[in-house]
Amino acid sequence: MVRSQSVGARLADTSIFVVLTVAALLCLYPLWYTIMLSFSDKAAANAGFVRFWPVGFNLSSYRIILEDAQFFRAFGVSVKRVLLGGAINLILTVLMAYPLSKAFPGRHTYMWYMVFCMLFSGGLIPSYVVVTSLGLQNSIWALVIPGAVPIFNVILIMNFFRNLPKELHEAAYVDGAGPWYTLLRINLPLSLPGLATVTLFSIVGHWNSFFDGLIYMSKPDNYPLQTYIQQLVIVIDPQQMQNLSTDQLIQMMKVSNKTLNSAKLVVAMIPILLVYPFLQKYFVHGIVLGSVKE
Amino acid sequence: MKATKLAFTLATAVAFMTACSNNGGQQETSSPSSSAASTDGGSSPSGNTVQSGAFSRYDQPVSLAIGKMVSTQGSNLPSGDTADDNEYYRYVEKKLNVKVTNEWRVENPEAYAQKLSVSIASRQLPDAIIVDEKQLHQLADAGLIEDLTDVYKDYASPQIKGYYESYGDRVLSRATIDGKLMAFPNTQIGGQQILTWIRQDWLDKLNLQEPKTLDELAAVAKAFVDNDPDGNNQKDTYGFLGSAALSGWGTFWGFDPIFGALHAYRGQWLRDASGNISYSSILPEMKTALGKLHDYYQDGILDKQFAIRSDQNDQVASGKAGIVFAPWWIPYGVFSDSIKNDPKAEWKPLSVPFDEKGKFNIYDQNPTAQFLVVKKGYAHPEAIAKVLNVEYQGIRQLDPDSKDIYKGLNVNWANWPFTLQIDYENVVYDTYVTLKKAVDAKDPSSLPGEMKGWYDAIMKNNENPKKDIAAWADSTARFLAAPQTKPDNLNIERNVFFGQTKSMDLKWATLQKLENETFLKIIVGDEPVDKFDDFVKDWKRLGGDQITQEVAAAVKP
Amino acid sequence: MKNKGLWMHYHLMLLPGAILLFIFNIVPMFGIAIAFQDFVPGKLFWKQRWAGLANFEFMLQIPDSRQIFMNTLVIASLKIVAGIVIPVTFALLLHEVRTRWFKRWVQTIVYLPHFMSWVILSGIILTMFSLDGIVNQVVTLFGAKPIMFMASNTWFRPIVVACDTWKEFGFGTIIYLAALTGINPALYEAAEIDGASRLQKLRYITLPGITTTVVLLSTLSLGNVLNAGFDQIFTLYNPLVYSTGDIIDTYVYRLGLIQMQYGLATAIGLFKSVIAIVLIVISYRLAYKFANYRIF
Repeated sequence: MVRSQSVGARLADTSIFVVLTVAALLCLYPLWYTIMLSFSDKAAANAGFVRFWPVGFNLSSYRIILEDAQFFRAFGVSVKRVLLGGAINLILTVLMAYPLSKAFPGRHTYMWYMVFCMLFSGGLIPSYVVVTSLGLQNSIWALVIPGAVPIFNVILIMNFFRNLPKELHEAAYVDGAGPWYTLLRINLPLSLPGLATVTLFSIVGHWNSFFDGLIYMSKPDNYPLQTYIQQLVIVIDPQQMQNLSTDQLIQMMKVSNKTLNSAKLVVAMIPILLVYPFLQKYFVHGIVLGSVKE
Repeated sequence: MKATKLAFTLATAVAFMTACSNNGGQQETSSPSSSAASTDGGSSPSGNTVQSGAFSRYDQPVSLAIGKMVSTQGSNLPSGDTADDNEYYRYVEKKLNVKVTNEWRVENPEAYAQKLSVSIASRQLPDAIIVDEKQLHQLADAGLIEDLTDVYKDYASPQIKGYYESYGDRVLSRATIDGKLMAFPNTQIGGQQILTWIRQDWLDKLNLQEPKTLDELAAVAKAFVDNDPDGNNQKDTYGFLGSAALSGWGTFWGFDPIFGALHAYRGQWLRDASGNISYSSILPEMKTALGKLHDYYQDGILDKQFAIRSDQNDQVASGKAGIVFAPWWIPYGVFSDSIKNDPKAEWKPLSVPFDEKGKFNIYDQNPTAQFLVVKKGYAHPEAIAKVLNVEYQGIRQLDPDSKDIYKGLNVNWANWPFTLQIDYENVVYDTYVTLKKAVDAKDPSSLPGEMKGWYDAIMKNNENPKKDIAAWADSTARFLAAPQTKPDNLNIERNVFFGQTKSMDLKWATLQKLENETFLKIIVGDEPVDKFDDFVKDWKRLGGDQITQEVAAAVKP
Repeated sequence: MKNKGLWMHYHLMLLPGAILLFIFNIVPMFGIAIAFQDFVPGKLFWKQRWAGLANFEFMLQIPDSRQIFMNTLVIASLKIVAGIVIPVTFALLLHEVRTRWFKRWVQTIVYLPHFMSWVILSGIILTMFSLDGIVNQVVTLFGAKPIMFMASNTWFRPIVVACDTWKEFGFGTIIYLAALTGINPALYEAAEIDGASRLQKLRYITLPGITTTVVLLSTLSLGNVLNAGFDQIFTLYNPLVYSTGDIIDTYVYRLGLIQMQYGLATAIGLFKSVIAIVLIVISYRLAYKFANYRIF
C-alpha cells in the first residue's frame, strides 16, 4: 500500500477514523464514569456531583474491598467456574459442531433437536428440581453442567467449519485421516478466530451470570463474584418496600453505598479486560491459511 | 419429581428420628430461665406448666433450619462471628437447646423473593421461613405449613402476645385462615406516615414562617424555587419533589401530605358515613388534588422531571431541595449525605399541611406484611414460638443474660434467627417519651440497651451537632421526628380491606396502570384535569365496579 | 461401507452433548404443562388443577393486550434490525482500518458497555437525556426548546433501541470480525491486481464472504422477536410512556406483584417460543427454497 492515495480515499479513511473514535468514546464513558464514582466520596456520589472526574477523591472503597474476604472467595469461585465451564463449553462445542458441519443421516434430527432446546424451556422451577435431584446444588457443577452445551456457539462454529475450503478435507480423507484426526488437525487450527470468539462468549457468559449462583448456592459463601456483587447493589424498590419492616428498611438505607458498589464492579471487570487481548488477536487479525500446511 | 419425593422421604425420616430421640416424658420441664418470663411484666406466675413452656429448655437438642435475609454489610459483627454462627444463635441455643441453622441465606430482598419462590414451588422449604401474604395463602392451600393456633396459645410469651394485642385483631386475623392461625405475622409499627421535612435554615434565610396550610406550604415551595435559598445566585433549587409512584407507604417524595390536606387518599378502601365501601382514588377529592398538583407543576413549584427521575436522592443530597416528603426515619438515608455535603442544612420534620379543620390527615398503614410459617411435619412447631420468645427477650434486653451480648457494637438486629419485627404499634412515639424523660433528667440508667444507644447519640449530637453523622441521624430520627409520628391533630382514615379479591387477579394490574398513567398525565398536563371523569368511568367499566362489590362483600360481616 | 463407520463416529461425537441437553433441557420441559394449569406454588405437580387454555385466554382478555403486544413487537423488531445493521457496518469499517493498534483499541472499547448492567447504564442514560443533560444542551445549542425525552411517547422507543444497540453492538461486531478473517486474502490480492476499487472489493469479496454469517445470525435473532428487553425497559420507563413502552415482560412483572402467576408466565413463555420457532422455520424454508441454502 505504498501507492499515494487519492483525496477521496484519504477522506474515506479519515471519516472512518472519526466515526470509530466517536463510537469508542461513547462506549468508554459508562466505564469511565463508574471508575470515577468508585474514587469519589460517598455523599458526593449520592448527590450526583460526579460526572467526568472524581469528587472528594479517596481510595476507601478499594480498601474495603481488599479487606473483604468474601469478595476474594467469590472471585475464586468465579475463576474456577470460568475455567471449568469454559473448557466444557469449548469441548462440547467443537465435538458437536464438527459432525453437524457434515452431511449424514440423522443430522437434521440433531440440528432441530438443538434449535428446539434453544427456544423452548420448561422454566426455572423444573430446572431447579432436576438440578437439585441430581444433588448438584451447592457445588460448582450446578453452575457449569446445566449450560454445558452452548447451542448458539455450536451453530456458529458449525457455520465456520462449513465455510472452510472443502479441498482440505478431501485431501485429508484421501490421506486416510479419520474424523477425530481431521477435527483436531484441520478444523481446529483453521477456525481459531471462531473458536476465540465463542470462547470469549463462554468466558464472559460464565463470568457475568449471577442468577444460577443465587438459586443453587444456599450461602453467600459459595456465590460466584457476580452473584455476590448483585446482592450488594441494593435497589430499594417501592413495591418491595411495602413488604419490609421499618427496621429492615433503616438497615438497608444505612448500607446503601454507591461508590463501594462501583469499585466492586470495576474490580470484577479487570479479569475480563486482561483476558480480552489474548483472544482478541485471533478475531481481529485472523490467521493466514497458508501457514497451516503440515 | 424425584427430588420432591426424595426431599419428602428425607423430611419424614428426620422428623421420625427427632421424634424418637425425644420420646418418653416430653421436653416441657420447667426450667431456670422461666424466671426470665417474670421479668417481662404482667406474666402471671401461676404454676401452669404450659405457660412456663414458653421459655423451657429442651432436654434433647432440637434443630431448626431456617431461610433468611440478612445483609452482611454493616452488620458490625466482631471477626469470627458470622450471620450463620454468632452470639445471638448461641444465646438461643443456650437458653432453649434449640440449634438454629441457616439452611439458606441471602443479602437483599430481591434475592430473598427469588430464593423463596423457588423453595416454595419445588416444595423444599426450611423448617421455618418468613413469607408474604400471597405465599401464606398458597402454602396453607397446598397444606405445606403447620397450624400454629395451639402453639401460639400455649407457648407464645406474654411479651409477644402483648405486642400483637396492641393492634387489636388487625394483625393476627390476617394470619388466620379458616379459623386457624397459620403463621406468626410481623407487625408494621405505626407512625410511618409521610411527614413534611423542611429546611429550617432556608426558612430563616428567606424570613418565612413555618407553613401550616397547604397554601402556605405552596408559598414556601415557591419561595424556595424563586428566591435562591442556597444563595448561589442561580435558580437551581426545587420546591416539591415527587415520585412517579405518586404516593403510598414508604414511598419517598410521595404526595400523601398534600393529598391528605385535601381529603384525597390514594388506593384505599374506605367506608363512608352510610357504610358504603368505595375506592378512594376515584372520589371527587382526588380530582381536586390532582388539579392542585397540576397547578403546582405548571407554576414550576413541583419538579418538572419528577416522573422520569430514577433517583430523587440526588436533589436532596446535593442540597437543592428544601421540602421533602418522607417518613420519620429518612435521616438514616439520604439526609445523612445532605448533612455531609452541606452541614448548614437544618432538616425539620413537620406534620403539615393541615386541612381546613386543622387536622393532619393520613390513611391506614398495612399493619402486617410478613408471616413466619412452619413447615408441615416439623417435629417441634412450638420451638418456633420459643425461639421467638427468647429472641425478643434478648432484643429488648429483658433478660439480664442478654444485656452484655455485643455490648456497644451496634450489631444489626437481623443477625438474630428470625428477622420478624414485632413491637407495640405506638413504639416509635412511646420510645420518644421514654427517651425524653431520660434526656430531661439527664439520667439514662433506667433505659434498656437499645435506647441507651440513642440516648448517647442524642447527647453526643447536642454537644457537637452534625460532627458524627450516625449520631445526628439517630438523634434527628428518634428525638426530632418521632414525636411527629403522633401529633395531637392526627387523623387516620381507616382502610377496611388489605387483601385480594378474585377479580383483582385478572384486572387489578390493568386498573393500576390506568390509574398511574392518567394521574401522572393530568399532573404534567398531557391530559386535562377533566380526563379524571373519563378515568372514573373506565375504571368502573374495566372491572372496578365488580372488584368494589367483592371488597364490600368481603368486609361485610 | 466406510461411510457407516464414519457416521458412527459422528454420532459418538454428538452423544455427550445430546444427553446433557436431554437431561437439562428436555426433562424440565414437563414444566411447560404449567401453562395449562392453575398452578399453585407448593402444591404437588399432579395435584394442580388443570385449567385448559384459561391462561392463554387470560392473555387475550387483558384490556391492554393489543397495546402491550405491539409495543413488544415493534421495540424487539427494531432492536433486531439495528442489532444486525450496526455491527455489520462497524465490522466492515474496522476491516478497512489498517492501523493495527487503533483497530484493537476500538474493538476493545466498544465491547465494554456489554459488561455494564442496565441499572447502571440506565442511570447514565436518564442523566444524559434529562432536561439539563448533555443531549438537551446540544438541542438548545441549535435554538430548539429542551425536550423531556424520557417522558415523550415519540422519543421513548428510538432511545430504547439506540441505547440497546449501543450496549450490544460490540458483541455482534466480534462475530463478524471473526467471519471476515475467514475470507481468503488471495481474493483481495487478485482483485487488487485487477484494479478493483475499495467499494468493488467490498461489494464482490467482503460482503459475499460474510453473507452466510449474517443470514445465520439474522435467523437466530428472530427468536427474540418478542423479547424487548425487560431489564432495560424496566429501568428506563415510567407511567407517562406506558402507551409506547409497556411491554409484555414489564406488564407480567407488575401483574406478578399482585399475584404470583406461574401459569400465566409459563403460558406467555410458551407463546413466545412458538412464535419464535415458527419464524425461524419459515426463514429456514425460504432460504432453502430461494437460495438453495441450508441455514443450519
